Amino acid sequence: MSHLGERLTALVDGELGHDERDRALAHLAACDLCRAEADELRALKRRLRAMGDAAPGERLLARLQAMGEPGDPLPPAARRLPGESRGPSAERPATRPRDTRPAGRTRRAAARRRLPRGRYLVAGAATLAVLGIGSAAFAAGSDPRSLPRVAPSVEQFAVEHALTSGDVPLTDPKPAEKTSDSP
Amino acid sequence: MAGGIAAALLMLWFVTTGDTASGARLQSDPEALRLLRGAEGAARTTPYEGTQFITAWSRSGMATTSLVKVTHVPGDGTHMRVQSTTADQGGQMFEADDSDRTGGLTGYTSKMLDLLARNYAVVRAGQGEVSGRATSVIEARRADGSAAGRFHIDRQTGLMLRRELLDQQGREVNLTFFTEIRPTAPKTQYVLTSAPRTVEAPWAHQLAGADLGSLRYRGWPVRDTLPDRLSLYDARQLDGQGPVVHLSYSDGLSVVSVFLQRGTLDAGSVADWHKATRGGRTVYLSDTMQQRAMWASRGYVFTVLADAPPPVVDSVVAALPHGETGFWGRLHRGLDRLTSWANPFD
Repeated sequence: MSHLGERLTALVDGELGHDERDRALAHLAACDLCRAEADELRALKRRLRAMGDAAPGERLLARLQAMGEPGDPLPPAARRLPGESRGPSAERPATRPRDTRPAGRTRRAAARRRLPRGRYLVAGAATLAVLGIGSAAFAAGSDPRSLPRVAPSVEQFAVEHALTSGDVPLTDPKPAEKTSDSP
Repeated sequence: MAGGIAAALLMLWFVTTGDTASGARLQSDPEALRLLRGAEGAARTTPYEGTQFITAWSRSGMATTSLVKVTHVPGDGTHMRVQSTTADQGGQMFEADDSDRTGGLTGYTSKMLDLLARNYAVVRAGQGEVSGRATSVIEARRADGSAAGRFHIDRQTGLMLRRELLDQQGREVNLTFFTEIRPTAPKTQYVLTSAPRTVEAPWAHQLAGADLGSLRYRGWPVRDTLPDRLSLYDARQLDGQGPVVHLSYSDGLSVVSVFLQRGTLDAGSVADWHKATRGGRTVYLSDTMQQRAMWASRGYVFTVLADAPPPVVDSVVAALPHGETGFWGRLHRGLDRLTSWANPFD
């Protein structure tokens, strides 16, 4: 039995013609695999629609706000001496020289040290979002085979073009009626 | 660094908007505009009958010529009938005086005249003669001073007797003029009495701004402007089995129609057309009286009909969406589709 393949997307989009839709639905009734795939696509569509209405919860908002508040400065990073092997930071000797910089810079410096972590989070989230949207777009972008085949009525268009541009139509969709120059 | 980028962007803005800006700076002669505006009024109030000669040159240099019998009775309308033509068919039409359009040489509605004045310097260019009648010559000039259009206005009646559309090299692309005209009550009264009238009118469903916005929201590629300062001046829809959207663009001289249909292109409809590449993409062209192009892209079929110089048509075709295949094409289609799914109004 051949499966619906790319016609599934068109079915979920409601783009199939009457007969083709009936055939696809009949296939779905008999094919567990296609039915499951159709359910997934419909769920994806529902989630995307719901995205506009979704509001963050109060707890999430509180946590996000807390993240924005200034925190305590991070402990100073230990500097390894030449020849010193890597080891747990707790075991490293406190060899960092005393910070003699003005006190006003400490908070800014700490904030700068915190930045990379946030930056990685943002970059990771953005990468995930791009990958997710890209995969969804690729899955949903199957060739629209169910679209109708169109044979443009060029002669009719030529008359419409002439009428809107103020020209005399030199093609006639209707047979030219015979006229007489005499009364 | 930021200053450099800003300067580069500013430079880019000047380069890309330079044409429009220079177009806006072009100074028109008010008297020339008054004569053109008066030609439409004269066409409604003056009785006349005559024969128009219409010729258009295709991309390959082939000319299509038609002779059209024109009769006008004030208060009633204008009857036009193609007497002979080298085109495939010859039609006829009747246009009532109370319609908001006028056909043939007098097709200068106020909207088209506004576009002409915005994009060209409209100036008087001396005196001329058409069919033995003295005329005032008016030219629509590009920013470089070359003539893009030339009009002859009858000094006695104010009727437009000749209209030329010229390309950058000064060659005629489209020419319409009266080979004979009698500005008197028509001897043949068939327009008023027993003659059959083939009344043609554009598609009735006119699309307003909100309709166009809705179409864009649903993914229809509706543009407000096209290259070469072409602006959307009219939009209509033919309802029925699979709607057809007709978008009319003009710069005041050239007229380009873009017809959009949802679907894929039936290969049989381009069997007599030749395949060509425009902007790296495949389109089908037809070398007829009008410049014609057809292609399918992203679920839409595009048909372009134009009374315009070939380079203008080429840039229009290149500016409209074209089919993308492979990975990126599929990704693009998918993004369009996801956007429409996420749209609560769709």
